[in-house]
Amino acid sequence: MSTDWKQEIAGEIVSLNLNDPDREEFLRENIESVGHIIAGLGPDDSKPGDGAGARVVFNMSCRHVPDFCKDSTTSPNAYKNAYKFSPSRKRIAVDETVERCTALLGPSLAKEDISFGAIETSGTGIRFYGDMCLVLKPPPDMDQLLLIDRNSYDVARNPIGQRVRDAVSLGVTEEQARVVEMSRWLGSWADLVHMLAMKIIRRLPLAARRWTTGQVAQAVLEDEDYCEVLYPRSFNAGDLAEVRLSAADAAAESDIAQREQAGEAPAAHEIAWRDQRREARRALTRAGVPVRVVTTPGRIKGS
Amino acid sequence: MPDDYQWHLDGWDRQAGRAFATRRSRGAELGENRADWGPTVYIAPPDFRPEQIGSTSIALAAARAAYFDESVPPNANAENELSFPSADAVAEFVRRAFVGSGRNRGGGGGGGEGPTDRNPPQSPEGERQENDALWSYLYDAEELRTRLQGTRTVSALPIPSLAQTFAHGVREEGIESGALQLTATLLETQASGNLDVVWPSANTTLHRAMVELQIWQEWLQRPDDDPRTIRNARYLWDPVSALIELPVKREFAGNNASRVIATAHYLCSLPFARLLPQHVEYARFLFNPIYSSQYPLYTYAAFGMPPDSFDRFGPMFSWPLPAYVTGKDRAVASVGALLMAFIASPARVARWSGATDIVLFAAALLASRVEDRAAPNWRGRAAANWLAGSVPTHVFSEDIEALIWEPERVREFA
Repeated sequence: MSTDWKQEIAGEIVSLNLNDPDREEFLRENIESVGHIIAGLGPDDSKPGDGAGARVVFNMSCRHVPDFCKDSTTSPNAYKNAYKFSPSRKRIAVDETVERCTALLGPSLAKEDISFGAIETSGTGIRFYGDMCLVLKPPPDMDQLLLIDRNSYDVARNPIGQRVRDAVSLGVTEEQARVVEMSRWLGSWADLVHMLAMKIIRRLPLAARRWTTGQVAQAVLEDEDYCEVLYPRSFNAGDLAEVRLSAADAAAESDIAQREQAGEAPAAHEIAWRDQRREARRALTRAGVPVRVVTTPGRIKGS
Repeated sequence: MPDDYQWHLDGWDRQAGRAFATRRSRGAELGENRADWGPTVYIAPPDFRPEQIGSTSIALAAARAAYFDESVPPNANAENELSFPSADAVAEFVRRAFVGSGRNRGGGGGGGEGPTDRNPPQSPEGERQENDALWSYLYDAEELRTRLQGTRTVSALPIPSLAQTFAHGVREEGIESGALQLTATLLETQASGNLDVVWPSANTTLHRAMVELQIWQEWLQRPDDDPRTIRNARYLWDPVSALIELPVKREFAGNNASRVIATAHYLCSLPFARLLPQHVEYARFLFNPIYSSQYPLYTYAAFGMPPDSFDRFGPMFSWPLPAYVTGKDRAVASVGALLMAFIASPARVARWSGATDIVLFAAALLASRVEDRAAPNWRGRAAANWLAGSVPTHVFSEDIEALIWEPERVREFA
């Protein structure tokens, strides 16, 4: 029931009807380069660069980082999702669909146990969920990780939402209809290259030119559009390879700090935020987690 | 889009200052995706400007994070969901609640030690308390609040012309009163032996602030018979005499005023972590008219002039507050916490005796880079400049104001 991503990409290339062997040849090479970027390989590398490649990331507000670090000292399960606190969510039941879909590719995961993350290469994750991007070390079971090629809540939004409603009017249950739709977006880490290639192919130029590393990396996670990871458990600070900060936030923070120290009237909310960021960095330092400002988003830089 | 649709929160993390809001029907669920609903915006620090987003999926998925409430109040319905007239009003709500959540940070508990019957200082003899820019601001806000209470359909009103209101500055006397209260509290805390334990570095950093605002310089240069010198010395008398343990109990006498100020300055400018017996002895020496008339009461070096840039906000969380302020809200235990509480809810904190003057002192420090310090009321202009960029831009209905002030809920595991 789930998608064969390799076949999907082959079909996509055919459907593009490029009519130009040169462009098609470049496209195949470009798709191969996506694999290199995911594996953390530079153009001429045979071994992945340390810290490079696709990673599972979770964005967290700086306000909550000290608590996360503190909880990490006593528990391997410091990261909590909302279900740990509130069993009766009034949201539409998308995560129940997610649970059902996970059973299509292996043992079913319960939403309470899933940490909902994203795939990132060299950027700073989904800023809407927090200004600090927690980057996981590659887990031993990386190949078994389940992925959805987009935000799973898209299943409840139009046009898919309307498609689901149409199916319901024909007698299918809402959940069945959603499972059918969501299962098309499902894959495992082994599918990642083709899954991301499908995403990128619709964004980058199909010319007889090589895609650059930066172009590919930016297309993997761009603004609100990302690839979801259903990480099957919690984690703590010891599981982090690093925490990344965006250059834009770092510039804002530094500007506020400079004005605060010079007595140039930074506003209350600015200094409160800057104070939280400083506390978070101190907590990460105590926890032994490296913190890095990403100054060249879209580029792979091994540490 | 029907005009009666207002803005509602679809996700809110109070402490992080992050939120999603949509113009939609009250009590509705974002996932319903109604075509006649308005845009969804994202609000976050540091600028708290609503930013339109392309997909509501990002807002829906945000509620998977541990600290996001998916509606306000949680499990809101058509009867009780908070409504806002504009995205800017939502952003202001999120900003104020975020700043207010900072009042729980740090502190060391207890506030100022020592005599609990101390009150804020009176105005110096012969000085009338004039209404200033902050008074005008609070008055305007109160007027709007009264107007708001007369309607059931409007939940927020913008406060106009903030920059204009604050252009004239606030009372310098308020800033001096704040400095005086903090100095007395610091001395009391020192006398109780709690300063090093509970409030490390408070002495050094408050002294630096006092020098930056040229408070000590002015206090030490004023003549003995200046009504402000007498008022200040009278106010500092009890904590100073308690700290230096004068062999004979004495009452404050007006002709001691300069020596009280000089002794307080010495005790507050110690570069040492602890007050040792030799420091107390030297303070007694300063206090003795026989010796102190032969030696200068201070040297310029004693000011320890602050560098051009130094950390102003962080240390405020190490400055203890007088007991009459902390008694109003135990979560507000330091000057930093008081400042955040004031910005979250100025009308409430302004009712706490003495608190506004301490806020003005802190505000002046945060904006002390003033071009012309020779001009009158430079500290008052500095404080007003900071307040203009930080005080609430809207007044809200009572339920929203109450929520802004509400302490952070402790989240229990399911």
